[in-house]
Amino acid sequence: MTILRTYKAIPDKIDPAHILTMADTELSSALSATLVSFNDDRGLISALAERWTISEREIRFTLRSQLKWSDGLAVHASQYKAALLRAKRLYQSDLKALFDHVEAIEAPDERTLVFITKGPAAESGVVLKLSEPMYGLVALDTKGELELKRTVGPYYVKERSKEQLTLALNTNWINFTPGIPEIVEMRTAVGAAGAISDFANEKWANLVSGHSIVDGETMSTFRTNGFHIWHRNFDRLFALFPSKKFATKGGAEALKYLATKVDRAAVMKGLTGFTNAEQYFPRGYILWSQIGPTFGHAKKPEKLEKIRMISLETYKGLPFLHRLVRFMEEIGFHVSLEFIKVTDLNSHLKAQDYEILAAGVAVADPNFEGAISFWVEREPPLVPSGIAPHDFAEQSRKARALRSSRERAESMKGILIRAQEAGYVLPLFHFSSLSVSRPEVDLSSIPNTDETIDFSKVRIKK
Amino acid sequence: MNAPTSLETHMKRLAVGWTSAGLALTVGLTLSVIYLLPFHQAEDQIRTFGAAATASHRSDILSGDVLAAELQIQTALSIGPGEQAFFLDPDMTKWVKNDQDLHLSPCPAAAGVCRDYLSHKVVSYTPIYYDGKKQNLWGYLYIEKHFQTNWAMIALVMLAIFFGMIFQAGGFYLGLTRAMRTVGQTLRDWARKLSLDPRNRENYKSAPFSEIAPIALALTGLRVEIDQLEEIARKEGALSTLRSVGHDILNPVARLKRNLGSLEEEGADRFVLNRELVLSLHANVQRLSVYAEQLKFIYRRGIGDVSDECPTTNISLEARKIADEMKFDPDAIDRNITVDFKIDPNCYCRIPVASFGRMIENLCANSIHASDLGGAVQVNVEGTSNSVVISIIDNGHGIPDDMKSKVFEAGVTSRPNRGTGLGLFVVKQICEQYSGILHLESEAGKGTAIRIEFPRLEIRDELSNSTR
Repeated sequence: MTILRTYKAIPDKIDPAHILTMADTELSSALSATLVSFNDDRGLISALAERWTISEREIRFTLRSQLKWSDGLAVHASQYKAALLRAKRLYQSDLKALFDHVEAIEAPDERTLVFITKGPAAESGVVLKLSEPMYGLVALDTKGELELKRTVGPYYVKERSKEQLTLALNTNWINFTPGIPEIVEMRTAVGAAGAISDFANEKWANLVSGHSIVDGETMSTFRTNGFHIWHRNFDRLFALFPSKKFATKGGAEALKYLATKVDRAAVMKGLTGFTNAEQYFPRGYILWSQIGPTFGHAKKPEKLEKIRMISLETYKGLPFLHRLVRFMEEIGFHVSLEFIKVTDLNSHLKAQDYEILAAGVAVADPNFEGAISFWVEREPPLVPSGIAPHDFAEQSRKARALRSSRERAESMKGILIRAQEAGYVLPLFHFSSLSVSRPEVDLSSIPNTDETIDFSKVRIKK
Repeated sequence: MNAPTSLETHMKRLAVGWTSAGLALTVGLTLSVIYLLPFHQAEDQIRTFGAAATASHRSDILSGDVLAAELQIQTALSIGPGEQAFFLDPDMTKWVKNDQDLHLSPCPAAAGVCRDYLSHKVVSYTPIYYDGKKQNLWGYLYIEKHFQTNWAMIALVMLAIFFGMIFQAGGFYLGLTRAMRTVGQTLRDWARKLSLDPRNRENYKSAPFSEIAPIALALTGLRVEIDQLEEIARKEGALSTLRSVGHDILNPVARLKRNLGSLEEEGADRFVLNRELVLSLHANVQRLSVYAEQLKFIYRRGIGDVSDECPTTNISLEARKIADEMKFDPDAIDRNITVDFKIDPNCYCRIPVASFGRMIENLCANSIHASDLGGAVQVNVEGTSNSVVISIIDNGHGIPDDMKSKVFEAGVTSRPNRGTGLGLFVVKQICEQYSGILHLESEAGKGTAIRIEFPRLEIRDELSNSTR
């Protein structure tokens, strides 16, 4: 009854309120629980909250009765308030989507949690945003520090060492039922390349996750051997993100020119599990636009310094980035490609010590306001902003201030289209989150609408 | 008593009646279906729409964007005057407050979907829960909607059904009328055929339809009964005639015998009597007496008044006597016809003398009558170990083939103005009475041989003597 999960790298710091990678999302979902959640049809349902009422400027949640931590102690609404205020204090820029709408949080009694909104509560979208795992309830110790050995999520941290992280099942979890794997053990993968490709060599593991860009032979081997395969449909985007310095000093023009020239089919030749990205968001997602980007006549910049392009080690074993670099050099660019660890990504973003970041990011986030805010408003942003009309962060803030959720969605639809047209981002292809398990680990109960593998939905065959 | 209704009229009335009832029923059912089916369809549509709308707007509703969801649902449903679509909280008040008074249909929320027949509406309450386990009720999506009725389509369908039925009924009526006429004509032809030849039983069997086979069978039975009754009546009539004829003959014959006796006694003194003439008169009077007795015998046998007693007769002796007498038959004498015999002695049979005599006399008289001038009649008695065969053979006119089967029937004669037609009939009756077997051989223009075979009796001498 144990999930043995490998990661490219176990995150050094585990904080459910801070999510950058898919591994963060997985751990956040396992170690916290939210007030509301989604069912398998992506419809909102109650979670820690039993019910709620929405009035003019107030959303009043009533927590479930008998709500307990994993150690059996009762949950108080004030603890949830404290967890949210901590998240706001530590990750203000990443969590704008929620906290920009919230004036105050109150806990008038042990089961009531009240959000006072800045604008009309019904139009704030706060309830929807509270489904995100970073807004979940986490335990804090007496000093206000995060305590992961005590959670309200499906798991709590049992042991942690440099090599291994062990999660144990929380039998007080609100959705606890017999059959949920009791232990989740996580280790850093042995293989150097993509985790999925190396899964055959990971003798210890029975579950691995990664991206869907895998050569056909590997996938065929998995299927032949009865492995379970779970994936979402094109929920991720591989794009070229210029640093702010590069974009504002001619790099945007270079990316715009590259957008008109790049032959995506040639770059991705021989690979499977992707589709060419004409827009930032995949078709069917709320921010996908009927009207795609238009580039007009893009001129090749006359003078360009050598471009330092960084990417993640996840993509090192795949040929497409090398082909892209060759192609860019063929049309006159000078490019050096360098692979970095995913754990170092944040420091590079802050240092802005590159011209182009070539990376895959999750885009099919049901909380579209949180998503657009994350791309353009966080510091440092993935999609940089320049001066008007390239002030995408400002455009996002204005859009978020609109009254209704629908108006906000309509306004936000155009922001990344315009960023693409201006050369502030170059989408290359959409691909999928992918998980593979050995035959004894059954992934069939996990809906494709889930963002990542929810360990509590995995079943181990006896 | 009223005249019976014709089959055609009856069937026409049935056809008109049932067709009218069928039309009324079809129109009624169609109207009911047309009225009720849209309700059913509307219920399904509203139920499906409610489930789909609450699922697709679930996140909007629960995150507070109820008004937008409500407006979208109202737009999608094309809510018009008199119709409503909005969200209700568990206390049945509107989630989105406005100045309008709240009027809910009397249908209970627990019913889910129900019909408001008076206002021609379908009402649905789709519950919405906070949780996936349906424990905490958020409220309801309330829909009250007229359902669309395509009256033009309904009118077209009704017209199509109505004219279709009329066409069908008309065709049925005309077809039935024609069929009934054909059936009536066929039955009339059959009845005419029966009436023209009622004695032909084959006609009864040729019933034109299997359905009236029992009638044909009954008619055949009736025909058989009628034939039998006719036969009985004919026989009884003939017997009555025979009785009266025999009675009428015997009286004058008795008088003739007395007169002849008186003539012999008185005339012997006064006249010289021709002895042969007197003998001939006696013979003829005797023959008349025998004929009369024959008629009485037939009558008695016909009514079953025949004694079981049967004396033994020396056939050889009686045959010889009759043959001798027949030589003096006036017809034989007049036409020079010889009567010869060849008789085996001591042939005895169980038959009264009188009956045997009647039989042989009749046969001889017929042979003499059938013979031409100079003809010959041969009487033979041939005895075997078991039987006695008496043969009367002539070389006369013979009997045509078409008459051979009829000559032993009563009333059949070759001398319409002279004979009674009872001679051979009596012969056959006597044969049957005394276990005789009658054989007829005859060829037209060559002659006739009639043989009668009786069982032979072995008689001791004293018995044979006693009968002489």
